[in-house]
Amino acid sequence: MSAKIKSNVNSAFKMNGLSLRSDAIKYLVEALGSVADIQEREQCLERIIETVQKQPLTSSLVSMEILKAAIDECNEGEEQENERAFAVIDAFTVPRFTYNQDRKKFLKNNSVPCLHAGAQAKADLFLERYTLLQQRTARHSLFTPPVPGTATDNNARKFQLKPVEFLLGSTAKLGEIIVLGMLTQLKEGKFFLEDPTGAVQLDLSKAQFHTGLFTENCFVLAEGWYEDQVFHITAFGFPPSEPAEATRAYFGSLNFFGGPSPTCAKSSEKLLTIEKDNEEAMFVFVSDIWLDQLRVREKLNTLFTGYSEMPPTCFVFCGNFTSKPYGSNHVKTLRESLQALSDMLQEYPTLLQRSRFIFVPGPQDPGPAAILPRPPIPDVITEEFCRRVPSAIFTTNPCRMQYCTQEIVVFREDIVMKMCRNCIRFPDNSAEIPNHFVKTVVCQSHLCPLPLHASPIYWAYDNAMRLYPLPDLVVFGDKYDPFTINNANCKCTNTGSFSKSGFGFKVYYPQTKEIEDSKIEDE
Amino acid sequence: MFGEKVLELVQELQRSRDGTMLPFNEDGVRKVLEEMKALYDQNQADVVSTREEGQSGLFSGVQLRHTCLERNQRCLLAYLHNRLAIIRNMRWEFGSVLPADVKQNLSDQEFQWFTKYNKSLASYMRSLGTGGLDLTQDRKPPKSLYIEVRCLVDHGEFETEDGTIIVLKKNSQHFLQRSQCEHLIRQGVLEHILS
Repeated sequence: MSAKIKSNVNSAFKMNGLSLRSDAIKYLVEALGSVADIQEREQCLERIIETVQKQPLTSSLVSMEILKAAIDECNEGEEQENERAFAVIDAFTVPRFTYNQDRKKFLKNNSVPCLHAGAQAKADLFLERYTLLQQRTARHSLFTPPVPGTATDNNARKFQLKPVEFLLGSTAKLGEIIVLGMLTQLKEGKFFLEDPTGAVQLDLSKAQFHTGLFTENCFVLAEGWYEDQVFHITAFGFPPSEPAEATRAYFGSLNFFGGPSPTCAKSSEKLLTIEKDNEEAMFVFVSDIWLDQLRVREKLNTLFTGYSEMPPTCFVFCGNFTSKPYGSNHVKTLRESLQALSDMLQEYPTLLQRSRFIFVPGPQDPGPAAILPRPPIPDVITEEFCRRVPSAIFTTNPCRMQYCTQEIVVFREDIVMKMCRNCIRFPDNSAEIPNHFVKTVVCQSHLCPLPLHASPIYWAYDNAMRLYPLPDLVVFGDKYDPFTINNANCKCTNTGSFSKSGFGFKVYYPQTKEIEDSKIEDE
Repeated sequence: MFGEKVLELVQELQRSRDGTMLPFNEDGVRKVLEEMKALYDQNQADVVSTREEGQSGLFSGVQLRHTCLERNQRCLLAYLHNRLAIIRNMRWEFGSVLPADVKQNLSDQEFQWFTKYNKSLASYMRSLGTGGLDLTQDRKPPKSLYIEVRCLVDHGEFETEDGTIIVLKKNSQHFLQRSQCEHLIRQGVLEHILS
């Protein structure tokens, strides 16, 4: 019997151009021996071979580990499919992609990042931000050479993107040039435009600023003329944004976002039908919940009562979870407040069963210093809560969520004010600030385009802050006034502060892609 | 000039005739498609205006563009087809696992095609005779059934079809059935000792 299976297995693998190691053969023969029916066994064998071929093979010799991994995958195949509908992606597990200029492709960077990386990582951080924006800008219709045969349209002017090197190498006056580069202050009070090929001094006296908050270390398209080692700027703009569909058309179904699936969730028909069928799906975003204040807890109770009839898919709670930061009692207060919250939740069994609770730490919650991305609230504090509320997930700041085909990024930071403080020219109309802010974030494809001294970022984990391709929804938990703005098919919303400004929050309906402003009124 | 971009693609293919796999020129293909779209749009516009206003002077222009479109299409298909032919040859030469550097140069669709081809070939080979017949073996008529081979790398245990286990250690020599070790020779694990 087993000899027959063995020859069968051997020939099946051989026909597929594979051969098994002798220990792997034994393992497989034993595993298949338990299947009595011959036809069923054949099917099993075929499925195993198929999954083996999907594994990253380096030679045609299949080792024990690969075979085991394949058999495991076969067994759990169906369970996994269901789980993929919803996933929370930790900022530290986001896949890292580097743009390769020769191959014009994003390649996965498999090296293990280090939390406190070496100096090279800091240079790479800016270089990678630059190459990403450079390839995106060069592809934009403004900068691509005209297609032969099309009628030349006078309105559609074409520009050429030049590197800084081009300026530095010329002695004559150059008029009307556009350069993509990073805005820096290499000498005090003097701005420079920097790219991998060099840096050039800027004269901003006549510069016009387009929409956006231009901070140091952000990437700009500078237009102007060059004379006597100085680049005289006439206009400043951001590199044009690119909708996620356009990005995907170029890079295929690569999963930039992270999560269990090897390909991008957008390309899955199955998830799309789940998304369309599930009309009740709903996300509740609340930021700044001071759990130690009775009044806030009362309002939360009202919120839970309201939703207990139709539990949302998930509640996303952003910090800070205490009203007073630091102090020796900080951890104790937070633990007790979470205890009170879990007590409160026990009264709503439907919520406990059918909703998820996601906690994103705020800048003043216990944990390491305010360097992004921020790890979750320590287990010591949350252990008890997780035991009582099994569907709770404590995650990082920022964090990513994949719901069916949609990608959601949550970021808790008081970033709008910080950007306003650090921008080199404050916009004239301060009522327009949200527009400026959203444009900046979307065009920079980065959650936090601030100089590193203003908002430190772990160098090796900068890619977790990337917004490329643009997700469907970016939720900011900022104490700034709430807003919702659509830019390049990416919705950006700010929840506002729940505890400080009138208990407002946001609700997102993935099916219709709508965001609803909500508020708990005073009784 | 029309058709220049597509010619570059074909030239690139011609230069790699020795069987090496160049990276899939996605950029080039995209540019050709853009050009074709522009040509098609213009033709469409001209045809519509001819129909409405009864001008017949535009016909020669339409014809020229149409020829360009057809040429572009032909060259693009040639590019894709010839690449597939190279990939197919690789299945016969390297077996079902492509070397990593070759794999990187394939586009997603090409790799999908390769897996499908692999599967069809395997199921066909298994359907032949009793227990299947490996067509990739003995691509040239063998001179003898057994050959002497030398091991070039530490490969570990190797089990032959009749169940005997031999250990392939570096620089060891073995007298094996040709059909058993041919795929290992092709991978460069073993070396055929000729004299």
